Amino acid sequence: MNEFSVVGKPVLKVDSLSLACGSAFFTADFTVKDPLFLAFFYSPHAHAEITAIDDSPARAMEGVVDVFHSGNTSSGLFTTAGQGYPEPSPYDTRLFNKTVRYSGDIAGAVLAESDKTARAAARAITVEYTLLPPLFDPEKAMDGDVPRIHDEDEYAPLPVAYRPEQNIAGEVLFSFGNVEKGFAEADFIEEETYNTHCTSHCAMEPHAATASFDEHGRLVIYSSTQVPFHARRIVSMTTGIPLHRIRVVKPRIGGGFGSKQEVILEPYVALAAWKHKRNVRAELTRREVFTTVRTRHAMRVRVKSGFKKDGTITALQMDDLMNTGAYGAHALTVLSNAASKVLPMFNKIPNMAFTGHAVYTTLPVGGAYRGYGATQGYFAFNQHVDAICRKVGADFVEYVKKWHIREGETSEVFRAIGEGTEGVSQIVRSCKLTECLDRGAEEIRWNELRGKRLRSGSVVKGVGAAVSMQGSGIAMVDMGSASMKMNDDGSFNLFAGATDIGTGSDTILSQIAAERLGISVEMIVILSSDTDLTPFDTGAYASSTTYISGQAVLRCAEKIGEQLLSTASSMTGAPVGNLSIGKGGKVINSADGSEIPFSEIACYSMYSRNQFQIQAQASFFGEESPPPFMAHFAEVDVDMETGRVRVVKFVSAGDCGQPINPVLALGQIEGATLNGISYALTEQYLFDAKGKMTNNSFWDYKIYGSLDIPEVKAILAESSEPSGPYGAKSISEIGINGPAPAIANAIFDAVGIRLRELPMTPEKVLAAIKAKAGR
Amino acid sequence: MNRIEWYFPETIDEAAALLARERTVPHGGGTGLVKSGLSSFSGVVDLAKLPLNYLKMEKGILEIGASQTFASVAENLSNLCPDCILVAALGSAASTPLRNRITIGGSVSFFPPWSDLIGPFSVLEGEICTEGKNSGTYDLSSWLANRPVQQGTLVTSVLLPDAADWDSCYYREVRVGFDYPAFTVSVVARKNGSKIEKVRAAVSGGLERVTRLSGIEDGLNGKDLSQLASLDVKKMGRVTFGRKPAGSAEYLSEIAAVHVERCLKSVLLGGGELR
Amino acid sequence: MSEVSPAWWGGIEMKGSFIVNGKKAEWSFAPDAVLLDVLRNNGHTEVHRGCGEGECGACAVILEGRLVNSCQVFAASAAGQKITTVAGIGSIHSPHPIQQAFVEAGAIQCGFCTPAMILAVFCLLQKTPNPTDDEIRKALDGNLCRCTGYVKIFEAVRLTARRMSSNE
Repeated sequence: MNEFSVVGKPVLKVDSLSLACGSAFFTADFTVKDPLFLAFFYSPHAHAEITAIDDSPARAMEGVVDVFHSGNTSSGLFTTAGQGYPEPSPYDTRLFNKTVRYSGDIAGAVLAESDKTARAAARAITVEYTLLPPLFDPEKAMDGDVPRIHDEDEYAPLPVAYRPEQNIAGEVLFSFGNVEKGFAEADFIEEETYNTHCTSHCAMEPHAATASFDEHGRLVIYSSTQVPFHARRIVSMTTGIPLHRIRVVKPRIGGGFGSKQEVILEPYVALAAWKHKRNVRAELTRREVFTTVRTRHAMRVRVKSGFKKDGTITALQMDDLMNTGAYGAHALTVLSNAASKVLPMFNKIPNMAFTGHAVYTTLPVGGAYRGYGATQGYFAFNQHVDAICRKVGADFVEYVKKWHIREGETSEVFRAIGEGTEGVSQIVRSCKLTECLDRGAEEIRWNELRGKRLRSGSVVKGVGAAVSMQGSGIAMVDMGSASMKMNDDGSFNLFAGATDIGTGSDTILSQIAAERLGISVEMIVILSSDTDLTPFDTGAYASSTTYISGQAVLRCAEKIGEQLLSTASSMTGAPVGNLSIGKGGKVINSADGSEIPFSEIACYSMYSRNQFQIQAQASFFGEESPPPFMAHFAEVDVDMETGRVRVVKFVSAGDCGQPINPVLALGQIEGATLNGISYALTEQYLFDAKGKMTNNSFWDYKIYGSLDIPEVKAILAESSEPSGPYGAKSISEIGINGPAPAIANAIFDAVGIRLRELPMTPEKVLAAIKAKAGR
Repeated sequence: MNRIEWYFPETIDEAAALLARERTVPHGGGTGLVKSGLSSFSGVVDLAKLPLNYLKMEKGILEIGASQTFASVAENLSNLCPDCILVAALGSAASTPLRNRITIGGSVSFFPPWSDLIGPFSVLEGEICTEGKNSGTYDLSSWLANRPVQQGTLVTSVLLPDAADWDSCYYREVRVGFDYPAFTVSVVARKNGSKIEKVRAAVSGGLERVTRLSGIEDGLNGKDLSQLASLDVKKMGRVTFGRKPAGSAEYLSEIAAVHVERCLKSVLLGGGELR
Repeated sequence: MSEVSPAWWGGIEMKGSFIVNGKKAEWSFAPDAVLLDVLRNNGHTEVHRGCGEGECGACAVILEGRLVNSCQVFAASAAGQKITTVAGIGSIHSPHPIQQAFVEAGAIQCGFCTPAMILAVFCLLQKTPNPTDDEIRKALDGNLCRCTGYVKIFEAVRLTARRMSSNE
């Protein structure tokens, strides 16, 4: 049991008072002098070639400054995916594509004196298209005789499988052992196909970016971004503006969940600003966010397993087909995660094979979304396991407890599947999944409710469970860094590249630094995510911040600690060996018990002798990606007459190692859980026959609100990850992986029907109930 | 852009006269005009200063001024007549901030397919009172049937001549709590011991904006409660729908009938409607 | 009572006075402008645009004592009226108990929905100082939050109610 002063404590989130009082600034809140506004116009067609653009009616409108499109603006190929360079996503898009590839694809942009004028002008532009045949069915994408979505000079910057001639944006192949042999040894074979759907992140803040000039004429971009450093690089790459003339600043972000791990608006505002030497603002409407921004990839997962009468799985085969939409941002990596975060869960299976393809279609573009492929994979995996349990008469909870990967164990999958590069072998050093299962099962009253089908009128109750794991950053790829300097009063400035998108990373990084130096969080002044002022960090994704950025901060604080001790030694003559960091901002001399306050050390170092600034910096990249684990439980009431599924209670019990801040960790679990529940039941993209999204507003795209929330209980297991900062692993993504399969398994428990397609709407549930009853 | 004048009349006559003008539209504060925009109008008549923000109930006759918001109606009625079906319907429509703006008058001028007002209005057999052009008192079907009568007229109030002393049940079919209904079910009834004195039932949101279930009403009016068991409500409660994002026409039709049955049972036999 | 006058004959701009957080201001706006834009364009960036369609609640303000979506209110129809934004109930130097409770309960993650959510709670507690969970649900039914799952928001409301009633 660790005794920490600041870590593990519910320290108040450092920015929450400013957010509560309205003094905090989001991107669209910054005023810049005399701005111009950028608004986009979009293709109505799913697949077409632009043959002519008549922008003269727009240019003739008062207040219109410029119109950008493929006829007058060229750029190189790139990917909008916010990933390390060179990206594992194909370079398959330009700022303005001449071929448009989904209904809603950007066809051009108007720059005007007001947002209203820009949008009105955009509507006045006539674009002539030659229609090309669309492709909406991913199952057909790799066939020989279907339209090719990308047939120009698209390429993959990394040596990964990329075959646009077959509409393949990414491919993952992996196997060990011999699955056919495994199937032959089995007593039972279970094979089913599951389909997940595309959904929108629905971060409450729509995407926005402002490009402005500082007093030296350098470009300063404020952006609602999860990836300020990738944004800076990609802006430079696409616009030709020298990187050293660009500064990207991330202010408060109104939620991301992966939607802002994408460099969408920044290049356009930069381009327009640089050309006209005027400040430029762009803010997407909510409707545009649905189609212009990325979605969660829809995925078909076919699972086949062979198992013995006692439940031992002899072989597992998974075949994933992922619909990446019109462009391949995150295609390979989301697909990889659907395997790399799912298959290691049962690491004793001797024969395993995974085939995965990400294919292009003329539909909205899939991208990064909390869970990142694991969510889709686990929907299938957990139902499949539930089905195996039913077949052999095993209890799901006991079965998973028996078979899940344990501390000290590894899986072939870790080494085999990376994210565009080789995977990294690792041993699981912390795994409290059994404890999570036990505590969650107790909280949901598993033994009282499971299989009982308690009934009240036409409503039947069921409970279901799911398990998942995620990662903590991308091993050998993600890097974070931090620097610190000391101030007169013993406080420190902490500069972290890490990106707080509402998760509270500013707070937990301050806690880590404060813990190391024995001071309170108030004495750490954090500034994050400014490419001029803070050192590099890959950004807020892959659940990397706590583990990777946290380690960078810890190491930086350690170096500070060393300087404090050596300065104190100079001050007092005491040998460094007798000195240590105490509590409350002081160095303690163990020889005589004397204390030297930090403030005295600071002033001595700055003003007295051998003056120097106590400061340090450190970087960290992970050599492993220790997975958090979670057990998810749902209690549902199913109305047999209407198909309505009500989640009565949901329990998420997780192992995130040592939570740096339990309130923030629980908040991540609670939010991810609710997002996962509406993902499972109510969210969906509806399309017309031409591939246009018809429900691009909250009017018809439904997410859970205060009237819908079930009782949600989040539990943190006692755990500590040896390789993590103060024992921490990640927590932000994993919660979203459980609700869909747990609810599906609970529905089966209640009414004996298995829904393999998302969302599980009342109409689908009712149809399945009636089909089972033979009606 | 065209010039738009805003007017703030203080009397009904003034307002009515303004509305007789071309391309001039009334605005009670609701969201309909904000959503449709003002580009096809040259004048907006803001009704805020008119004496239309009242609610009176006397001897079961309920009169609601056109400027009463859904929130105000629900609050006022929950004091005056808490069992009134309008409390449930208007109190759950849309969301809290929207209920603070949506007005009776605006709602009646517009009666969209997702209206929470139209079902209760139908079963309480309300009337719409207007001034100015086409002034008069209209029952719901003649109002709905005659769209032109609505243009340029000023809705001043609605009258529900028999609004009290009903047992009622209201159900709205929504995907999540804050949603417009795919359909609503409204049932009101008066019982005398085990006899059903009167029952009225309506389903809104179908191809016909609101449908009174006259077959069920005829089958139950004046009859004993036990008569309910002999009616095939799931068949008689069927209304034709179009496809909506919330479900197919067949599905909506089927479960609307399920909820008609549940509401009837709830009102006539007691026990809550299961949501 | 509204005070609106066309800025000039033949012009397309209107002028009106608004009493925001107790201070009177005279602003110009287009006849079809909504209150959200007029507030944001005149410095009240604490009022957020989440959808512009009245569906998310992030733009909610208190208008003459009632919670409304400012994106669904014409500025012309709000002229002359009292408007309260979250900056009007407390400040970073002197936060309102609701703001303080939100901070302490961990009810704020990204904070984008927070100003409007706090105003919704403010309106609730004015009317119902000790709300049940169902009353809380209903009062917040128009305020979407994607980050928190609402769990700690409810805890913040209960915390505030406990504190404010024990202070009476």
